[in-house]
Amino acid sequence: MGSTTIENKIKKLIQNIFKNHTYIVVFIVLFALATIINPNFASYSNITNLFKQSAVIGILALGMALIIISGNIDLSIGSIICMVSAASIELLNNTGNILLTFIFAIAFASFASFINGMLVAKFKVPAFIATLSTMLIFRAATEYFARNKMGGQYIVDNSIFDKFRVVAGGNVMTIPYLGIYFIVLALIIIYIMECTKFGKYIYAVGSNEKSAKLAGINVTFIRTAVYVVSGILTGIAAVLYSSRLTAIQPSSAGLGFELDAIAAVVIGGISMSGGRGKLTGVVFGVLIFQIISTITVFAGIPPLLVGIVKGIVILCAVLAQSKR
Amino acid sequence: MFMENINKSYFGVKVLNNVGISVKRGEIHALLGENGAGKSTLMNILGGVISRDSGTVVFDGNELNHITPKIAQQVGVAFVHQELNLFNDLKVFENIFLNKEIQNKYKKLNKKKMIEECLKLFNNMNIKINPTDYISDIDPSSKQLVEIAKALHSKAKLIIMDEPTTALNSKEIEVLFEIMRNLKLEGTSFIYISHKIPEIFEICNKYTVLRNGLLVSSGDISETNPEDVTKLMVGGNLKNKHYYMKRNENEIVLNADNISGNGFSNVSFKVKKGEVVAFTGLQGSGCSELIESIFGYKPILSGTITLNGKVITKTSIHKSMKNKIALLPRNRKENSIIPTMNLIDNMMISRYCLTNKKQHINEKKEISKYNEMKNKISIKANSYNDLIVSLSGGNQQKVIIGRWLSTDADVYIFDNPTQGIDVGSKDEIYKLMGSLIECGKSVIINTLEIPEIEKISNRCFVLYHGKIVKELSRQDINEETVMLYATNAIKTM
Repeated sequence: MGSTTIENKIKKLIQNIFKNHTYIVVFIVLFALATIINPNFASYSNITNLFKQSAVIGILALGMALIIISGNIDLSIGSIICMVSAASIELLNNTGNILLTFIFAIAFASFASFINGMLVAKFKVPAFIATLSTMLIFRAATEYFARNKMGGQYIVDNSIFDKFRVVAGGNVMTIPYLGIYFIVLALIIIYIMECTKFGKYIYAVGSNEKSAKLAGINVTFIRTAVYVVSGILTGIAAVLYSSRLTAIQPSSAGLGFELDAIAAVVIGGISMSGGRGKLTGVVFGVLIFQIISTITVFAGIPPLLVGIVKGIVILCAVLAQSKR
Repeated sequence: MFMENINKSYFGVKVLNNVGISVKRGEIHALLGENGAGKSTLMNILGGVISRDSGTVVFDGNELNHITPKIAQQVGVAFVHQELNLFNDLKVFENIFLNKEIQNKYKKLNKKKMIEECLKLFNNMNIKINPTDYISDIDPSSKQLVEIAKALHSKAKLIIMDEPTTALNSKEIEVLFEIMRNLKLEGTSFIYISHKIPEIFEICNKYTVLRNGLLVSSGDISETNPEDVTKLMVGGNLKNKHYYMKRNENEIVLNADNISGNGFSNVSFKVKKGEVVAFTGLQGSGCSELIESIFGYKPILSGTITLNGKVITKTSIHKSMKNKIALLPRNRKENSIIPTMNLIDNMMISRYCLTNKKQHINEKKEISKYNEMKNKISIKANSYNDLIVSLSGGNQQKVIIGRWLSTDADVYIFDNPTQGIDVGSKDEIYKLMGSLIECGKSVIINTLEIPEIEKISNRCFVLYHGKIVKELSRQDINEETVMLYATNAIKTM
């Protein structure tokens, strides 16, 4: 008797995973595939590497997930991360204060996202259009300010270089800081979405705006706040990104990051129409996205074909989920 | 043209039971009945929008077996719909000539000629609308006129008009009637659906009354009078008054003094502790707008609302909730449920909004609160984690009622609470209102169903064109009286 009920429970659990958490299945399949192609893939160093490489996009994807759940989109985060990174390096070079740089980056990125939020929530500009416009504005502004820089880019000064590099590049007992940042932030966001009223409001607004409003939710505030939260995450990501690169080329830094983040969110099972999806899915989505890149390298797929593989995986992930 | 023995069922529910109507050439035939009597269904069958289960339709001597909108159009039936069927992003003349465009042999549109013909048509109708304006730029009454012009332009032999005058002012209505009289002389027939009894007696010469999908009566307008027609519409059936209990009336909780907003003006009323106050009126009477404004969803433009002795100046939903008003919106699917959320979140979301200071949700506490409420209002559901859309309509509505009961309000506004809900659940909702009253709460109900008002309310306000035309006390509430005021028929007496 006992064994059958346990069997049933396991059966139900597996069914539940297949039905509601397809991303876990995709993750396991890809992980296995990568290990078959190259047994080294499952090694400790490679797994920590995986987290290290996916941290920046991962942190951006967390913010993007909130925005998509609330029923909007943000195309400008690639430009924001570029703009904020450039300004942060400039500030760092002038002050040499890493903490100040962190605070500044978070404030600056939140402000930029706040503009997006106001455009969308208050002035009712469709999110796609509003953030498409700010995407162009933020990047062009950065390029303009960089025009007199040496090589047209922002470079971290030698005086602070070593200290600043540790921000993203350091380890605690062989665990990379970057991975820790990502996991801690992911846990915070998961907590917000699962266990706070604010999180419930975000789901409600994305699911049925009118019902949400008539239930007493301040829809304008929630929509704006979601952008600001995403801005805070983008600010943190910007510092980590600068610390990794130590030089920001305004024409290419963060280019296409918004699309990578959206892809990770979608692979993680979050509905583009809003109101549906779990943040744990996003963490898996990010890892899946990174695994694909790694596999293509391991399998010796020409870099020019990587896009095709990524595109197919995104489509498969979404098709598998849309059967519900 | 006549239709005979038409039957139509939806999901086993008979909405039309052996209904027939016959219209002669040059006749304006009024089709009457309450909401849900089957008027629109019958006309939609004639227009080919929906198909009939059985029965015959004969038009101009030809039997029509299978009607599609295109066939209906070809034989000469034109439809002026209650909800406008115009394309906002096309110009006026493009709408009128839609599917009947004038073009040369290379399929190039002859816009000039279409505009000219359009102007000619408008001149005949004595209306001033620019044919090259976009529909989205013209006001509602002009839209209505364009819709009518479109029907006239099709040179139809039979024009069905479903509530054509709701958006028109009295002068425009006069013009419309003039056009109708002229066309009638030319041999065009009309089926005229309206809730406004005075209009019927002004323009129509025949009538047919439907009630609950049955043909009740048919005859010459000249042989009847507004009261009789209203009686026929509502039927003389007795209603049980089980849910009403004598209530101790107490102090005033809500006092609206001369408030105006979009859709209603100069409305004053008081709601006392422990009573059920009903608002009713036909579509467009302003009841829904009034109620939404009291809740703060729509603005109040002038006048004051006093709640528990406190004057509320700038209304907002949050403020209303803080002041212990709750609104159960109409159209559950659009305005109430949050489809991707589970039962517990759907129920607790409004209480969350009132306790924003504490952001952390203690799941155990919420579950016990949910279970308490679930038992209290007997919601039939398996797990609190199920999506709300997995429940039946009645149970969904109960979850939403639970949402507002959890906020512990003093004044509960129910906007068409029993819309699309089975009889059993209706019953339970009435009982719930009764128990609210016993606890000393107040209930405001806006409904189109008069039996509902009879069952539960202490007083009833009838609205017509955004104004309170009558306050009825308990003993005076019955379908006939309410309908007389709601249709403004009383004035013709």
